[in-house]
Amino acid sequence: MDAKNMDTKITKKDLNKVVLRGVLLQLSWNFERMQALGYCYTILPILKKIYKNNPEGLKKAVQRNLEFFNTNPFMAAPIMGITLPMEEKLATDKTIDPTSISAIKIAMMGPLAGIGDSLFWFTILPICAGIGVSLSKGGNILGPIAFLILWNIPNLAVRYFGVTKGYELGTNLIGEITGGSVMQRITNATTIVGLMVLGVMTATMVNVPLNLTIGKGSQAMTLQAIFDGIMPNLIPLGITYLVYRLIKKGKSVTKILFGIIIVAILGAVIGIF
Amino acid sequence: MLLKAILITIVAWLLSLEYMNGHFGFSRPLVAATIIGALLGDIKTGIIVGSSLQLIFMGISGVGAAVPPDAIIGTVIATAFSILAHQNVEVSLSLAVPVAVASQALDIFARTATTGLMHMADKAAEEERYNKLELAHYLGGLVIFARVAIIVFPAIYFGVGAVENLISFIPASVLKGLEVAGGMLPAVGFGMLLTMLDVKKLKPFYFIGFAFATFGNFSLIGVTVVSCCVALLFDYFSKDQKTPDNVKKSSDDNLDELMNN
Repeated sequence: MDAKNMDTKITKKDLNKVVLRGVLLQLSWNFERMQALGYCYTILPILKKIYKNNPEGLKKAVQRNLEFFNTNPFMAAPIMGITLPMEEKLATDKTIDPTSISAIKIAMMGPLAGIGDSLFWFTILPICAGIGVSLSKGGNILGPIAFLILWNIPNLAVRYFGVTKGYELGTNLIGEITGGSVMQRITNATTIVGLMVLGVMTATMVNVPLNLTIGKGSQAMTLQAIFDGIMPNLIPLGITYLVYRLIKKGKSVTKILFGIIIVAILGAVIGIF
Repeated sequence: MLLKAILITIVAWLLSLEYMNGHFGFSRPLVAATIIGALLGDIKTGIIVGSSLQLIFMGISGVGAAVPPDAIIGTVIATAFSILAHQNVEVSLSLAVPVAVASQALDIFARTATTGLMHMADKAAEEERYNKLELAHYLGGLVIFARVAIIVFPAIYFGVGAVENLISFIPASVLKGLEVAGGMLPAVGFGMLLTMLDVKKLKPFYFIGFAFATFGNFSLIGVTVVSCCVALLFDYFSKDQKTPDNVKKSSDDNLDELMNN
């Protein structure tokens, strides 16, 4: 390894730069190529370094990394980590076909978006937020603080280790994850945890207080008591399931939000609530 | 009020940047409302409004290409109204929803406008001017400032008084209705999450979680512990029965959906 090669070798410091710049991944998110510019921006210092003596190669690499890219923002880290050794190899000995780097980016961004979304947005975030909310009863500052700490452990871990460990594993991990059923198993497991937590939140966090009384005198029975007699939390479950069906049928969330507000107001005017 | 409006506009901008970049959690309603509360001198109200809004916006995250109703702007406005106009939390919550939707419409416009920066970057790469490419990326932050300032500044500067007057005209039953809506709206977030976790075969686990909480009075953390064990057992047994092909088929649909969103 002579001095010239050392000059263009990716170091730990360079990878840390990628971790830091990755924070700004979606600053220029747009409908045309989504995270493309952010991706290129994030790995630009590394491209500049490995193509130090080859401006034409650098130009090609930058243009290639301005192609469409979009994934779960946390999962961009491992994709960068895994493809950077390939970029390095391409720059040093050209034994890699540049189109294969693009192919791997595309192959990984879709499935990892699915895993990242179900893991971060639909499992970890609801759990952390649920804990934060339950601790902040009565305006307790502990709630927001607990949420920030719990949430940032996995956030920072994936951002940092995604790039550094991803770089270490390089191309090996790609075969391991996309080849076998490992990814499918991870998706199933996180979906189970997500669904069960969602069931709890439906039962405990949706509130529909019915105020209507049926009958008179000692025969009087509140509507709430009747529904509770069938099953407690029946109405929260029903509303949540109805919303789910409506969204699945393609109704817009905005319309559903306004629909619920209108129903609630009408109900209050009539005196159901 | 001018200073407060400027201050809140800037904070709303920073939170909006953080919502898309970094995801450290500051822009989640629980924390964002706490920050706005602290700035306006009523941190306790901030936390209370924040924890209610957190539930409503729970299922609303940027997934794929979908642009969600703007939880941050909704949170900022609701918290500011709660504190500045001494409004009760539920009414502020309902005010937040239309603002979040208006902000969403503007966001779609802004994300389309940002396409121009993409072309600026293409040109910079062609000219091998990489500082200009980085500048194009940073300018995205300015586009976000523009779309945040258009909504937040007037809402705070002119809005609180106007909203106060408006509320005095609203009949009590409508206010009660808005309060009820505040309790029902978390169902929207949960309904959205359900469509994201839409694996037919795994659907019973949702009802298992529901039953644990309804009949067993399990806490969220309790069910999380149980669900992790269940997930591990499920993984173990489905591997044992050699059915990964079936599993793959049913939930590939789900993944495809997520990817196409």
